[in-house]
Amino acid sequence: MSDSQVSDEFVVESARKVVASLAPEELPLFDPVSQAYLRDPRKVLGDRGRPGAVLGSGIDVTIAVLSPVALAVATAVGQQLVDKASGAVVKGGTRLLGRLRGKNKPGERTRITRIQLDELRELAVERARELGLPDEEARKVGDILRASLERGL
Amino acid sequence: MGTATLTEAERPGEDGEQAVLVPSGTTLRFGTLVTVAIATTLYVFGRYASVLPVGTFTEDAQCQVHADLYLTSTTAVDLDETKWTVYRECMSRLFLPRLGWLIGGLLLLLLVSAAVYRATPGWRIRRSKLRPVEDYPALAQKLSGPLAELATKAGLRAAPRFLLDPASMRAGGVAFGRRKHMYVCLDIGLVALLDRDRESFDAIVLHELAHVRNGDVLTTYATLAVWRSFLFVVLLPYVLTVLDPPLLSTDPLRVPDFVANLGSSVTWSLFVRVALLVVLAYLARTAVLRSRERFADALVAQWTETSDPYQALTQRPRHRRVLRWITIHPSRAARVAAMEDPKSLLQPGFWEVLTNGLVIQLAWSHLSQGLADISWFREGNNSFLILRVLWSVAVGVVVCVIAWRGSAYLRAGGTGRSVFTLPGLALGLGLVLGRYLDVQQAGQLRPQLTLLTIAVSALFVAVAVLVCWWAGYCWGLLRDRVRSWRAVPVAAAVVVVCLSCLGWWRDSLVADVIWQDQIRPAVDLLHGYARTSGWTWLDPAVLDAFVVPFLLNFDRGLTALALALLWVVPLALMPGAGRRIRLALVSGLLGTAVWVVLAVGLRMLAGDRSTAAFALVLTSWELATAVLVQAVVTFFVARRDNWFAGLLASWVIGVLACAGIWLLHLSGGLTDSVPAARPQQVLPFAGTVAALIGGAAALIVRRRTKPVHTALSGQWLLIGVVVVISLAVQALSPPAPQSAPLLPPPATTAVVDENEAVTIWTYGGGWDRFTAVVTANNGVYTAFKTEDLAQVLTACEKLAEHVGAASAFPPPPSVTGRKSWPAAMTALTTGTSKCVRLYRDQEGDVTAMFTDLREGLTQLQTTLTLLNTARAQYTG
Repeated sequence: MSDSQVSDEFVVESARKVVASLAPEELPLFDPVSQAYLRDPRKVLGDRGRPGAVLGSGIDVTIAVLSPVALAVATAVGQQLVDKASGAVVKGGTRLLGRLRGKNKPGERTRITRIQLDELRELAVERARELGLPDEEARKVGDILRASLERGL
Repeated sequence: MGTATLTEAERPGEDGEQAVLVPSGTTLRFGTLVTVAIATTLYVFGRYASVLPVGTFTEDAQCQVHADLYLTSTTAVDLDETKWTVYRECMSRLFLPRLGWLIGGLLLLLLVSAAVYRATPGWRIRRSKLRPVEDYPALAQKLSGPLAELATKAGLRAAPRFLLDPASMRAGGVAFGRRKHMYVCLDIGLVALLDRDRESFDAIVLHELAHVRNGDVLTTYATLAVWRSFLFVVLLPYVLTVLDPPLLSTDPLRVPDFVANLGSSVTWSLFVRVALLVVLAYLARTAVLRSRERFADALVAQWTETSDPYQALTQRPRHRRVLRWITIHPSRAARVAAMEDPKSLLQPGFWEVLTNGLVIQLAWSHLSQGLADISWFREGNNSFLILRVLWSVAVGVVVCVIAWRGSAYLRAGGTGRSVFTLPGLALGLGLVLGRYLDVQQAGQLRPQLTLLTIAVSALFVAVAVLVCWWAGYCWGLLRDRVRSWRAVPVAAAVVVVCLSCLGWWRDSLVADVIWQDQIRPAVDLLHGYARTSGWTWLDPAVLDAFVVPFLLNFDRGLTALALALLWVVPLALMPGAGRRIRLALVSGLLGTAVWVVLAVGLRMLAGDRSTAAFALVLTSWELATAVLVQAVVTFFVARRDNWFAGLLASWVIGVLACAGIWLLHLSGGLTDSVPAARPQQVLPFAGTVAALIGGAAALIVRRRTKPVHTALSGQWLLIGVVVVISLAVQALSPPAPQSAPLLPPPATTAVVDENEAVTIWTYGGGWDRFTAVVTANNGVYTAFKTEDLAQVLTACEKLAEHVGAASAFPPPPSVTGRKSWPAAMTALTTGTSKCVRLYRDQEGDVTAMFTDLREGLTQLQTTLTLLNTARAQYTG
């Protein structure tokens, strides 16, 4: 994983918390979805048919599954943190950056301001809406992510 | 979000299971695709065989020259059998190499199809990164119970292996794999439905399991494998060779003349036909895919006891009706129809059968052309009969499937008079249309839609309807025995009936030619006999009515067998048919007695007329009275009881009338007219037509009687006697050496296209001989210039050698060529002989030698002009 990317651990753990809170019945699906997502995010998020779909039943409508949305929102939030790491969002937040990039030592805590947390929440809500979640669900996703960031990941 | 549960009365019955037990549309359509792929492969590789390696092209021409049998584009056939024997012997050396092309093409298609078929499941798993459900313990624990329950509900002996597509959020699944490695892939979106909408989850999984249960997974993957293999192995290379003909020459990299090639009407005609072929194969492919879905839906509806188990799942926008044939999934309406009324799947569809007919005809044409290209499909080796039987088997299979499915539909409670009529119509139309679409006719034969061909085609379609109706009736009589051994002889009977009643389609293609060349001269001859006899004004019509069918029936044994089966099979299957048989036999005997009276009356009216022409007229009248009696008796028997009993009565009259006509016309072991010698050549056919008319009349004024099924002792013995006697008399025919001929004497010479024949001569070795002689002749003149006696002598001896070889070679097949070529060879033979004597023995006259050599040169020049002109005119 390059430095410009968010660590898989951050994405998967953040998303798992969202799924556990909002759709706990999806948890058995989370592992296969997250593995597929990490392998090819666009394939999981896109509504493209599978190869050889001619042999499918033809009644395969798309189902709203939270796991890929949570993974994508977590990716967006993490990416925002990485992109702004040297700017205003996390002044001197090298430890958080390190954690995001998977380089921090376990037990190290990252400090992040309330304003920054609000901005990240808004980003998460916006991304969740983009991915088709209803407003209320999107706000819940934002809240859960904000809470987990506030607890220092 | 569950689906509506039906009441007991509304629940789909066992129709879904019934649909599985009869040959499905999926299988039939797969057969369609395989048939068109195999036949077209044989056609395309037959084309390659006829031109590759390049030398084989000229070998055919050499054989034609060798046999003096020039196969030009005219329809005239040379009747000299010795020429054909020489030609076939010559061509036989090409048979094995060309057969290798055909077998190689089929093997290539088979191997590529098998490779694609075997590789597809693994490719699908790798490409989509599918993982077994067991790889995720938490998920496996959650799914194991429901999946096992559903597999049990689907009645599967062994559950397939369940895979997961973690990247797909759709509520879909797909069944795939091979016989021993069957997989069902579940999308993650479908798994998510387990907790939210269990009914929909069950419905989708059951749908995939229904594919496994129906056994259509293998068919479907085989369909796709054959389609892809056909596209890349057969069609694409063939289109390339059409666009770029030099690919099949000694210089394959030469740039083709695209403008001239595409400007050719033959090329365009070929493209249209190839495009139609692709469309047909594609439609067969998509039809397989749609058909399997509806059969799976029918089972799901039965297993879930709901009329629409997918109701909760929002459907994507429906395809417009116009796109129905090219979509790979059935429309929502079609799915609902299949689930609400599963027996509707049993009804053979019009377009499905039309495609079958079209494909059989195309396949036959391509197969026969491929076999003709390897010099096997020809007169004299039973190849016509073998391919006719093959065609009949294919048509018979379709008719049996129509009968099987239609009768199952009726037994399941379906109604409608068109259950067999519409498929019969579709089959007939498909077989007729297929004649005009085959690739080999591109640019060669345009449909000649004359009144006669249309009428003959309409008759063919009508016969196809009757055959389907008859087969459906027989299959209906089989009832529960349809999957037993009893169905086998019925199916065989259907094939024989198809062979006889529909197998004459090739003759209908050339109806105009047959009319012009055979029937019209015969009719003129017959009318001459009628005038000569001067008996009644109806004589010409009666002669036409009985002698023309007599002439057109080439297989009297087969015709009698097939027409006998029309009543034997239904009567054998009818429960308690004893009363019917007794009624038929008694009626037949009574009818025969009436006919005897009429025949004796005719004799008395004839007086002392005794010419050969009048014997023919009288025989025709006797046949006419027999047929009249047959129609009347059939009317009464059908009105009283059953048409098939009427047909048997008609048959009995026919057999006895045949014996009666022999007795009336025999004198000293000889008969006085050809129909009197072989009345059985026309009576079975005419009797069946009479029975049809009588039966149709009986339908209008039907009188219902109470069915009384009393056993008749020895009923089947009597039936057997009638059948055996009627078939045995087919082998009998007392000679009629003094009878009036029915046809004028055939033309002794065949008309050939002279320019084409000379061009064949040129390619078939003529040009080689010509250039060898000219080159040697030039050598003689060059030697003269050197004034070296030894050189001149050598050159003259060499010329003599080439002239000797050329003299033995047949002359160009034209009036000019038959004069100029021998004249050139004679003059050059004389000239070289004088040259040798002059320069070796110093004897002879120089002037005479030069005169001969110059004459030879002049005649060679005439021959050259002929060759060039012929080639230019032939190639246009």
